[in-house]
Amino acid sequence: MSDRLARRYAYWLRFYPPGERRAEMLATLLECAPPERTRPTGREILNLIGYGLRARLGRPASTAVVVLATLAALASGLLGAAAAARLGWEFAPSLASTAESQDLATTVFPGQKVWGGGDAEPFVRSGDGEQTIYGFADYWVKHNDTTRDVRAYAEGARDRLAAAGWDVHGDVTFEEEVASETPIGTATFWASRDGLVLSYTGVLWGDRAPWDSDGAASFELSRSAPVWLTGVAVTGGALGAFAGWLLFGWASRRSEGDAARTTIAAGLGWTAAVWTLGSALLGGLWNLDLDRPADEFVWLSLRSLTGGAGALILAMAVVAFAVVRLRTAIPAAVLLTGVVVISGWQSAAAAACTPSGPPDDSPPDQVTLSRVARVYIAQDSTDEQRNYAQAAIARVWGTRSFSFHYDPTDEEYRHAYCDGGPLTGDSGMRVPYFWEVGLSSPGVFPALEDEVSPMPGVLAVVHGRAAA
Amino acid sequence: MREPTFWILTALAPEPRYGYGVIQEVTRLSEGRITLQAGTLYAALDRLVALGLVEPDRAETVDGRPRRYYRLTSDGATALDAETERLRASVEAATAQLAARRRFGLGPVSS
Repeated sequence: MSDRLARRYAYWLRFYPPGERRAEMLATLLECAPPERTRPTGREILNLIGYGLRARLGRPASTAVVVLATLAALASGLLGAAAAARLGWEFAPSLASTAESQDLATTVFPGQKVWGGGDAEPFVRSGDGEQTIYGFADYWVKHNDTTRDVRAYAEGARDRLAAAGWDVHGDVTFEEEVASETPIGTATFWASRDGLVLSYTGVLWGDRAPWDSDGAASFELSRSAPVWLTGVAVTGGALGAFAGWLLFGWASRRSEGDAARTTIAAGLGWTAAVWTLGSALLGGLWNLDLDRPADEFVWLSLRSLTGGAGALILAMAVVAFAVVRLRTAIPAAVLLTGVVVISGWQSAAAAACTPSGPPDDSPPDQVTLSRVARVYIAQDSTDEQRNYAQAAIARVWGTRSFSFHYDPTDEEYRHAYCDGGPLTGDSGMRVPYFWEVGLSSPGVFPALEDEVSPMPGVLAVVHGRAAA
Repeated sequence: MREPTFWILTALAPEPRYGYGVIQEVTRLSEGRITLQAGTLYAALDRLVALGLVEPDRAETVDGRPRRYYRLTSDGATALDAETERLRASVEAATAQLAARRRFGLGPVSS
């Protein structure tokens, strides 16, 4: 019986750092225990966990070490949550399959030819490039007699979504600018269901040139974080915080009594921790938008800790550990450098090539999430042909931006023809000119291809890998 | 000075004691009001050792289990003395105030 109790106490005593103290405390705990006790009381367990974690930090008379350890654990918890969330997003359900399973396009636009859809990265830049938002897919219908009454059609779509179980937030908002040269009518509303957010926009532009689009009935479908991702992030955060506390404690005990090492390591620790908390806060606040789903802010905060900022913070932590004990930090430094090199310089080694015409289509799995397309047009095309092709590009609802390139020294030529590598000799002089087209979402590409490839002079419409 | 600290110093004042010995003595001296948890005791001992108020004494093994004794240093005795004076002054101040209250006949006060 006493053996079993001793084993149980010994288990909880592992919160203390290894050393003679564990055996000393075990003896005391067993002496304190009344004979009938077989397991530690809850109060004893909490007491051992709390003071054990404190003992891990060493420096028993210092309050500062507890403050800094708390800060470090908070920071490493955030980093752990950020890493877990980043990994978790890789397994988030695809936007396309979710929308498909709900027959969404048919619900909103029954009996119409619907363009767009498809998948998206978890996060993308917003339209103005200022913020990061949940990735989305653009869906739309080219105007016809039914959809040109944008207000009535939006109200119909809203009712159909509500009937299909969607939460419609607020009423349809209709704005009209009649005095303008091209009168504009816009109807909008948004709805949500099961982690999906649907933002509807119907636009009608009046008095447009015959080759221009007069708007569309459309919606952007974005995905918010799946519920399980919160669990993943919280678990990662707890593990990160615990690991951070233990590592911090090791470093603190190890450098105890060495004023120089303590000062340098603690300085680096403070900087790394404050940097982490600051990055997370700024990363979130920068993208805070009260009209967007509230949880987006949290995921963007965590996201801002991965990539460059995270590597820098970890590098600082590794240096702090190196100050405490050089030998221990070497494997960590090698690992971190390896990760940075692999993720950072992957694209630097693109090879030179000698193109003779538009590139072949990329393998579909490399472009499903790309929002870049290129329209190649013959060098001997006429001005009129180029104007018509350009009007066709602009006509596509999901076209965000386009720029025409005819100078082979443009950086864009490398991406258009050589996967980022240089073009050899004067090969660039003989290949077709092209437009680089920015798409609102990857699924816009088929609509661009359909609209633009029949135009005279156009040689190819290619869904490209994004320029790094 | 927090209460567990005060009682640990008090328990160690006359002679060195080991962990369980301190806990027992504190319970006895405080007439059962204070029962120290092992975690609390050793955290306080570590802090007092770091501050130089207490120092490790001899170590022995009883029934295969280690026992380490701790003793009060002269700094520790000085600190306990100062704390005792402070408490005595507080007690005297409160006693005088309560005596005044009794004189004015303002509600019940024992003795």
